[in-house]
Order: sequence, then C-alpha cells, then structure tokens
Amino acid sequence: MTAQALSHPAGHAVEHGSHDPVSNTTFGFWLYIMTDCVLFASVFATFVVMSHSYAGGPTGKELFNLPYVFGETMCLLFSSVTYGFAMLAMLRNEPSKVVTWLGITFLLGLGFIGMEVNEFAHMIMEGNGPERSGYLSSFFTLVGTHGTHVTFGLIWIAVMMAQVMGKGLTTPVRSRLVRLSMFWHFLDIVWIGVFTVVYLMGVMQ
Amino acid sequence: MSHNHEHAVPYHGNLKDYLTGFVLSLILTAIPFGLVMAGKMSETAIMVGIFLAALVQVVVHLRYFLHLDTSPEQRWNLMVFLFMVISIVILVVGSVWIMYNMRIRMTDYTPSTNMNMSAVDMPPPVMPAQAAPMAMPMSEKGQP
Repeated sequence: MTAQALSHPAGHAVEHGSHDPVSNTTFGFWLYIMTDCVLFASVFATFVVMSHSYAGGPTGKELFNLPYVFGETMCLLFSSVTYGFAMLAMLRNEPSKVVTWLGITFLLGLGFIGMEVNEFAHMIMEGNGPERSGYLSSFFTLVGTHGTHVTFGLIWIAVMMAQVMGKGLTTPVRSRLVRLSMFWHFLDIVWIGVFTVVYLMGVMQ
Repeated sequence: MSHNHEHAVPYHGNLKDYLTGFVLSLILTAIPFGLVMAGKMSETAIMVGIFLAALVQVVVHLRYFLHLDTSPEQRWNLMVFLFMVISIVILVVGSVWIMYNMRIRMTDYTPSTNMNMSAVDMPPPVMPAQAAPMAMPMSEKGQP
C-alpha cells in the first residue's frame, strides 16, 4: 500500500514530463492565467484606493444602472455555459456542434462587449470620461482591462471556429479549445469581482 | 479512438457539472443584486452578503467550470492557484491598508492643526475664541 502510494506519483510525473506535451501546454497556460489574476488584483487595488476620489464628479450611485449590469452579467454567465457545451460536443467528436456552440458563445460575448461599449460611450458623451476624476480613471482602467480581455477572447473564439471547420477536431485544435475554455471561464470569474466591487458597492456608496 | 483523445487532451468536463455550476451561479448572482436593489438591510449586512456570494460563486466557477479540485492531476494547478491567492491577498489588502491609513492621516485634523493649515480661509465666526490669538501670528507671518 505504502510502496504503491510512493511509486505512483513519481511514475505519473515522469509520464507527464516526457510524453504529454498537451498537458504541459495546459499547465503553462494556467500559469499565465494566474499571472493575469495578479494583474487584475493590482488594478482592483487601485480602484478600491481611488473609490472615493470623485473630485466633484459623479459617484457610482449616479452613474450605474444595476438591471443593465445584471444583463451584462447574464450574457457572460450564459456564454460560460455555452462554451462548456462546445467542450462537451468536442468530447463527443461532433465538430459541427462545437462550431454551433462556439458561435452562440461568440454572440453572447459580443452582446456583453456591445453593452459595455454602449455604457462607456454614454458616460464619455456626458463628460464622465476617464479624465473626469481619479475614481473614473480607475473605473475605466479596471472595467476596460476586463473588456479588452473579453475582446481578445472573442477573436480567439472566431479563430477556433475557423480551425474546427477547416482542420476538424485534431489534437492541437482540441488542446487550443481547452486553453480557450480556461481563458473564457477565467474572464467570467474576474467579472464576479467587477460587478461586486465596482457596481454593487459603487451603487451603495 | 475516443479514449485516446480524452487522454491526449486533459479535460474532464461533463454536463452535470456545467448545469450545477450554472444554476448555482444564477442563484449567487441574483442574491447580491437583489440585496442591493431591495436595500432593506443595513449597509454592513448587505456588504457581508454580497462579498460572501461573490466568494462562493468564485469557488463554484473554479470547481464546476474550470474543474479545479484536489485530485492528483490537478495538484500543481491547485498549488499555483493557492500561491496566486496569497500574492493577491498581500497585494490588495496591503495596498488598501496603507492607502486607507494615509488618507486618515492626511484628512483627520483637530481644530488647532486646521488653523495652521488654512488660517486665512477660515471664516472668523466659526473660529473658537481661545484659538483666535494662535491664528494671529500665522496670518501676520503670511503677509509681506
């Protein structure tokens, strides 16, 4: 029992190190996501520090519309689940269904970005752009950084739809789909922090 | 064939996980939005509520969408994740702690320090009687 327990992890490690490049790539991408978390953490810290620096400008209570933010949140949450369905279709070897679910995920993500760009545009047109106050600078930095990530995720989803259609579900394509799933779910996790710290707390203050 | 692919790509999602995660996330999103929009509880209670809901929802996403668990295959992912959590706790709590203290120290003033800082701006009626002589040298010093 003890001998087995001791030998098993070592054998596993050797196997992973030499025969499983996909597993290594996935772990490397996980490391990237963890460093991206640290980037977001520093932007969150900046936002919290600046959260009262209104400089006579508008507060969160005057700026945010919670039902609208709830809509954005639902877009991202539904897109996380539809991406999961794309992955399940991949496990069942159904390329056309993978493309369909990726397409739905893309549209939901696009809906989220569209709502966010619309919100930003309204704020800037009303003179509440990032230059208005320290609070708004940090708001645009935090929410904009998240939005930029989602935009790159959308480009990646479009590329993967083309690859699944063109190359089929080969091992490299599957490996990329796994990494994109990590990226996409990670962005939804960051959004939980954004709607809690920026919007819900902003409306209360 | 199918087994071979599953082995090649480290992915272990299933329908039950995704649906469980989805329903739990819906509930854990509806609760904080409901708490804030209703606004019927005290501010502290709402704060505790929305942060608890966010924390639980992050765990739900990690478990059911990113399939992070304590299995041997996930050991290194989990260790790096925990290291990241420690890093961001130090980063965020440290920054907020330092900057909050600085704000308190820079804005919290007693009447006498207030006098030193802006004796000229102070309207005379508000000035406490015994503090007025203290303000005099200041304003004289300020004049050429």
